[in-house]
Amino acid sequence: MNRRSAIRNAVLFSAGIVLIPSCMEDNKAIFQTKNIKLTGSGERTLQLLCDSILPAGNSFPGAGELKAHEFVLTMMDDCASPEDQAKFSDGLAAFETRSQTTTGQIFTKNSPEQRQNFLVTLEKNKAANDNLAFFYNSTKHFTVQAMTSSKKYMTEIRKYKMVPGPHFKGCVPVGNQV
Amino acid sequence: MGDTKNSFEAIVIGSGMSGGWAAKEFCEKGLKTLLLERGRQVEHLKDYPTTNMQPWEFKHRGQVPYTISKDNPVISRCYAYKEDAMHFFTKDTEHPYEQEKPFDWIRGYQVGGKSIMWARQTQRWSDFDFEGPARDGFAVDWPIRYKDLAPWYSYVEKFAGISGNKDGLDTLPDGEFLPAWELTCVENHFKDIVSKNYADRHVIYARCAHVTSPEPIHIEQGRGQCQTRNLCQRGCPFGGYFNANSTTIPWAQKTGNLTLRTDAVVHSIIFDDTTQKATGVRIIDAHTKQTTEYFAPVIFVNAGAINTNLILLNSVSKRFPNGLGNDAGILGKYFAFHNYRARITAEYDGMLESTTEGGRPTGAYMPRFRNVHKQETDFLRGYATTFSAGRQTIDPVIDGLAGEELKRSLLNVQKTGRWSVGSQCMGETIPKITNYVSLSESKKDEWGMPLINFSVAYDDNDEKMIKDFFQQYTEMYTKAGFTNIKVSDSKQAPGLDIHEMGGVRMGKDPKTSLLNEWNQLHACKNVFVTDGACMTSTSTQNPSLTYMALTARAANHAVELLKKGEL
Ligand SMILES: Cc1cc2nc3c(=O)[nH]c(=O)nc-3n(C[C@H](O)[C@H](O)[C@H](O)COP(=O)(O)OP(=O)(O)OC[C@H]3O[C@@H](n4cnc5c(N)ncnc54)[C@H](O)[C@@H]3O)c2cc1C
Repeated sequence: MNRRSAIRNAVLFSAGIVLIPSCMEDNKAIFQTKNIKLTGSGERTLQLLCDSILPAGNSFPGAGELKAHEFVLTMMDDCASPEDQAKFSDGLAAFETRSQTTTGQIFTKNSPEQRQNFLVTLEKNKAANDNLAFFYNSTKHFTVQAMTSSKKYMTEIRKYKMVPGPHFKGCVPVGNQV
Repeated sequence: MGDTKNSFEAIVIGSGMSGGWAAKEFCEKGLKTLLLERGRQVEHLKDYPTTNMQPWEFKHRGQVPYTISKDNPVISRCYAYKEDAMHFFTKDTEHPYEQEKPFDWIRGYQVGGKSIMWARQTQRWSDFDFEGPARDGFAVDWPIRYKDLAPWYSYVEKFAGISGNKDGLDTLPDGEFLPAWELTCVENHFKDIVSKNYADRHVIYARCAHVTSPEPIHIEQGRGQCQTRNLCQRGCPFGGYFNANSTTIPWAQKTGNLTLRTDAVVHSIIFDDTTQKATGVRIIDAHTKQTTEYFAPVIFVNAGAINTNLILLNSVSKRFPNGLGNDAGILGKYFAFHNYRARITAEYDGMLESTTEGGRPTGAYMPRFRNVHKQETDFLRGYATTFSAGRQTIDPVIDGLAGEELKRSLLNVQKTGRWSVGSQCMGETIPKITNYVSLSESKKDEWGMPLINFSVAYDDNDEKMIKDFFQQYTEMYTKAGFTNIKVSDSKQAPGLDIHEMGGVRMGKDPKTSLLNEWNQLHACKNVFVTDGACMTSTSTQNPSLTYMALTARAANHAVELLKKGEL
């Protein structure tokens, strides 16, 4: 554990996320965003949320290995409107508060079961017109895209070929395609 | 006449789809040719930065960043304006324009112009199209007929490489074709149903500018067989489709007769009041803003329909105070386009035991069947349509799922869903004096040229045509057993069809047209206009093949006139 994460964890244990002033050096996010306001703890919450949406195992990389949280942040930071970026940041804060009020503990301290239960609640809440739902839906959308647009998924699951070759067959029996 | 360093035997303005052809013809015939291009160099293969990028290598997986789409709403409406090809499109902010009425002006300022990103559909016109204005009493009569252009269609097709079938239709004459790809099972099913039910409607393979099987001429050009990547808009590493960069321009360069001057914004054509001829052009360097003049006895204007209008309108002299060659007073007027607002989609539950294999950069096509032999509807002219049918890829269920279950669902991809079918309506619009482009009265661009202003709109004829397309296609789709039929009207502004035409129309009479049957300005015979600006009417076909054939024809005629000393 390096010094920076040691301090971070110490802060987390003692005070919890909501109380960390964002100007504090050691609460800086590692992934640099231009527009999205992100703290180090917010970043870790997002990362763990992505991991919970698409866990490792099952013979396919999970969100962690796919760096899905970085993709979520890239897309929100570069391709979303300022209004949506604000909703995303506020939604992340709402997510942290909600998970803490529900379980008594911050999301990153929850057990895997607690986290999974929280996701089930959020899935039910997804049509809600609030920042929390916006944050969760966007994160899930881009996490899924991080997987489905990955090289491994496209080539192994979808059999994507950049150069299919000159021939096109207009009518072949299903299951016989190469 | 100017210093020799700036003197040439021919000048071509614009290096895109049509200008590339003019340059090729002149250089092949031995003329020292200057090709002027406002944009930057785009060299085949070398300047296609994204061509070999895998989908996962794009930072935003194809999406255009927000600040760019927000500042450039017009170009962002073009379906091909994505992360992989956005560097080939001109941003709204780079060359602003005025919209008295909304017009989406889609541009590609670079060597090759829009030929880099085009969709490569290439259907010939027939006499039903050329005779339209005379028969139906709009615009003016075309000064040419199909027989005038037919050999030049062949000429262009052989060189460019066009894939197609000989369909034997009088509405869509056959050409010089390389082999076609197959239609899909459901495209063939629809074709059968349509031909059984309607004697005059034909579903055919859509002809396209792809080298499906290279001939020696394509190999000589350094081009190879299309590999059906369907990523043409990025430029093709195989040279599998026609663009000016891979085909006409290198061919012209090989002769040693071509001077390509990029970053040269043509400001105006210089007219000499003593000789009553155009002597050259005035350019502004795109970056230094320095003015230079170039001279030649013949000038081809191929800047893309709208910029061609702009250059002529901006070329004022004592003789032509309202724009070069504008004795008729209609320069910029009778501007037209294609009506691309209407689409229809549906699903098909049959033929589920069959599917397709591989990619295919084209589809099926139905030539115009309305008002072909005589007027039969409450609107003039008609529409051609695309048709395509392919199996859906089913997106895995993600709703309500998170965690292990979601991941399992994503990994369990069902191979194929039902068939999706769809058609795009491509309607002829009627050129009118009230649809025009003009020069802004007060605003200039950074090169000191007036901004172009658009006043172009749909009319009642277009609305009726859309209704008819919906009705006829719903009927045909229903007969074919398609379900979940949905029609939609995008209400998109004119321009997004990217088939802008007119303003400098051809015609027999100098009082009612600007160009003669050889695309020469009636009133200034050594200036030729052979891009979309010359079009007297629009018909329904994707127009570029016709611009290319007109250009090759006019350039060869110009060479003959030069030889005879008649220019
Ligand atoms: C996405 C897309 C899909 C399309 N699909 C089809 C299709 O399937 N079939 C079809 O037929 N057509 C299609 N088109 C339209 C086709 O690209 C155009 O019809 C064609 O490129 C027009 O040729 P052009 O030579 O007139 O203009 P361009 O190819 O645009 O070339 C004009 C050139 O002139 C240059 N220029 C402009 N102003 C000046 C100036 N003042 N000085 C110097 N240079 C200047 C420009 O920079 C440009 O390089 C499509 C277009 C796009 C963008």
